Amino acid sequence: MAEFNFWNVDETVSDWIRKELNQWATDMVNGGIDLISDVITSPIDLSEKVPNFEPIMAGTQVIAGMMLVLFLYQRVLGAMYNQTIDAEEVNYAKIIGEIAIAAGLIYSFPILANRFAVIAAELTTWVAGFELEFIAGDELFNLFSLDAAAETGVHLLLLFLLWGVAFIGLAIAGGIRVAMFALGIIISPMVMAAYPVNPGLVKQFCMSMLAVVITQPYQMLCLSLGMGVAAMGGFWGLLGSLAFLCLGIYPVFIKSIFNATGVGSMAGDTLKMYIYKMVRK
Amino acid sequence: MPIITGLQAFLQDLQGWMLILAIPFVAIQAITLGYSLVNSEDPNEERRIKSRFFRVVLGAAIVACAPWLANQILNYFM
Repeated sequence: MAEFNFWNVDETVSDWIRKELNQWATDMVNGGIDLISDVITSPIDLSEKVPNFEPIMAGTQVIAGMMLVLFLYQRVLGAMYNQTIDAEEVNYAKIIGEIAIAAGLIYSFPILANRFAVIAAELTTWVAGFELEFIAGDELFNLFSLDAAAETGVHLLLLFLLWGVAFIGLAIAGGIRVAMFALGIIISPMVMAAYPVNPGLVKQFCMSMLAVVITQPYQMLCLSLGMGVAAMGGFWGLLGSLAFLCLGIYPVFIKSIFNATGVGSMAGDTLKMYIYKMVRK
Repeated sequence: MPIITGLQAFLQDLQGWMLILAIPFVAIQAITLGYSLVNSEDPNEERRIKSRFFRVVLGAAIVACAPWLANQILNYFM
């Protein structure tokens, strides 16, 4: 604690608060910078990031192959039953064809997903090329004019602390995205094995995986815009940058909950309404 | 892994059951289709019944070859 001036307790305490908040925010930003360079700006190589990845992949592919054989028997048995009671026309070629397609999907989906991940990583590098400077934590604070001697309100310092929290939150969101991608690839063979009985599930799964992969350039964009706005300094620099960082966290945490409640479809309907209105005018 | 050996044992049993099932399937279909073939007067209908005979034979052949097919599928992944 600074020298405790008995006749001016107010100033001493607020000095101490300022120093502490400054310190916490600096620590969080410095910690977050390494994490961000690990999970947002670099391409994902799952065999490095996930332990025992290859044996797990091989195991789930074997299980999916066996599930596929079970579905083959189920479909053929159903066709034989329908033929005996003469309920509907049976088509054995369709059954064999769907089984063959599912086997191909099981085998090739991880390779396909990795190709998409590589494309997303190239997009990310392109976005990062727009002059993102990872300035050290100390320079950041000078940009915000948070000199300890200057007249800085505690509210601005609190906002700055929130900014540090958002920065580390963005790094965590990047890590969550990597984990989602890894789990998606690991369970993908079993989803593909269900193709003969439920083709819609495969389509849904592919759309979800694509969304997870596209999140990487999106987070990079939010990060670079956030840092760029922060470099403008002043109050808008801090506030706008915080907004961009929060939007970078948004898809990972909140979207998966909002989609389940139907907010996405509500937004889609609203958009359709506006477009009709504009077109009719 | 216990789940893989368990699934393999189940698949072996299933192959046996399907083969046993194919024989009554062919027999029942032969009887019903033969009966309707004898009773029909229309040549179009006779052609349709004969194509259904072929489909029954095809179905039984798939069931008989399914162990071989399953082996091929599993060899891709193991």
